[in-house]
Amino acid sequence: MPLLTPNERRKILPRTPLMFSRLVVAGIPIKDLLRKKVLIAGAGGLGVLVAEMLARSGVGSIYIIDRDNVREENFNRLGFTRDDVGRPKAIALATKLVNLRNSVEVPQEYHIHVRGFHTDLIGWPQLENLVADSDIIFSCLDNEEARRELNYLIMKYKKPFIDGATSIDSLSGTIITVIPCKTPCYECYYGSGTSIRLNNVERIGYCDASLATTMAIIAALQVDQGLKILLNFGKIYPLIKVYLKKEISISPIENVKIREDCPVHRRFCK
Amino acid sequence: MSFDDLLEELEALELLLRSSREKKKRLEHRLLEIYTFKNTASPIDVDWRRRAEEEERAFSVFKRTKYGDLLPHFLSLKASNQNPQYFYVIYKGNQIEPAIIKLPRLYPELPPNSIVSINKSIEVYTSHTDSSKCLGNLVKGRWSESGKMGIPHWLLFVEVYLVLTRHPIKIRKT
Repeated sequence: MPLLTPNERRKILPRTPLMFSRLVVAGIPIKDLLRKKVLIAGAGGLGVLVAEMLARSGVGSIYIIDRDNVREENFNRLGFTRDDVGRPKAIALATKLVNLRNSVEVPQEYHIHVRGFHTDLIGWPQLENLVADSDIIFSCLDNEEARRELNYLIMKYKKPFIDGATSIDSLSGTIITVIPCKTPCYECYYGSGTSIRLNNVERIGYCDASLATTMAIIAALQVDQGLKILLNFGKIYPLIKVYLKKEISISPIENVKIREDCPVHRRFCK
Repeated sequence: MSFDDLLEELEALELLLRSSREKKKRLEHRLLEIYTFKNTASPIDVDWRRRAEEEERAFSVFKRTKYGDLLPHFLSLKASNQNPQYFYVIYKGNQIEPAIIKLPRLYPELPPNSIVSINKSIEVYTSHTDSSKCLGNLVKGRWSESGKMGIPHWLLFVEVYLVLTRHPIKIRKT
């Protein structure tokens, strides 16, 4: 399902709703994207952007999971407004996406199906079914435990997984793209047996910093990698490092190996 | 054990929790002295039932240690029959109410995720962006990844957290 050829674009364009016309010009096979189901874990600074970009790009179904409610401290990032304060983030975001995509002017076949789940994903019995039902999983979480929980399931069901994270000073970030059994998984980087410990970092105060600018760059790269996987075009990088502290540097890293003693790989990849 | 004795005991633990790596080792040793888990199975393992039973046994050991009642806010611990990632605990705050402890699939390498009671009079997570609910650095780096620590050890961290949030303790600098 690669990008549309110029001839295909010309043919499809007149029959495409205006909202998606520019996507067709860019060669995006919109009908294929409409069949895709995406799971987004976390509806914070990254999750809202990933969700909105995917919805605007024409993805057909989105599941959103988040355990928190919208609070005033979220306003330095994009997505939520004062009207959303106190509402579960997953539900508030789901409503926004539906309002954005679905209207009487847009044919039903182009509508988006969104389900928001206000829950903690750890120990949540439905999580396994949602992972199994999705074509790709975006991790926009704020803690290592939940990422490792999700990583376990994406490896079990062999689903592509794209994790986005910003540093605690919010001036750098990382995108990890996992193609199960082909590229390193989250456990390969941060699990037991590695020397990397996220908790060794010194923290100022309780909350991590967050900047809309960094979040937008990380989220955009997550969605870029996700669309390339869903539409089977372009290059996938297992690891992308983003530094914005002094100079601007985006470093895609290809040569990352699966950790030999990764327990999750050992369990699911023969 | 009187409340003052408990505070003193928890204060000593808190000092160890906040101190250097060498002292962290001492803390791990001290916690494992109370109880060391033999079965290190995860909720995803076939052997989980035995580990779950050991959790219940260890809890009662914690309630009978030489220090007296180290877990005054928690009265009983029971594994869920339906969901291997759930444990039920009776929480005694201003009132007595049941609470659920949720475990990650990679427990006991990773610590328990959360404890939330029915009326939310206790809602504490190992990691959370809301600092009023987050154990954070109290647990991270102090949890033994070997699987030898279990829910009662984690509840002890929760006890320290509860005391710190409700009765702030002045930390000695020595």
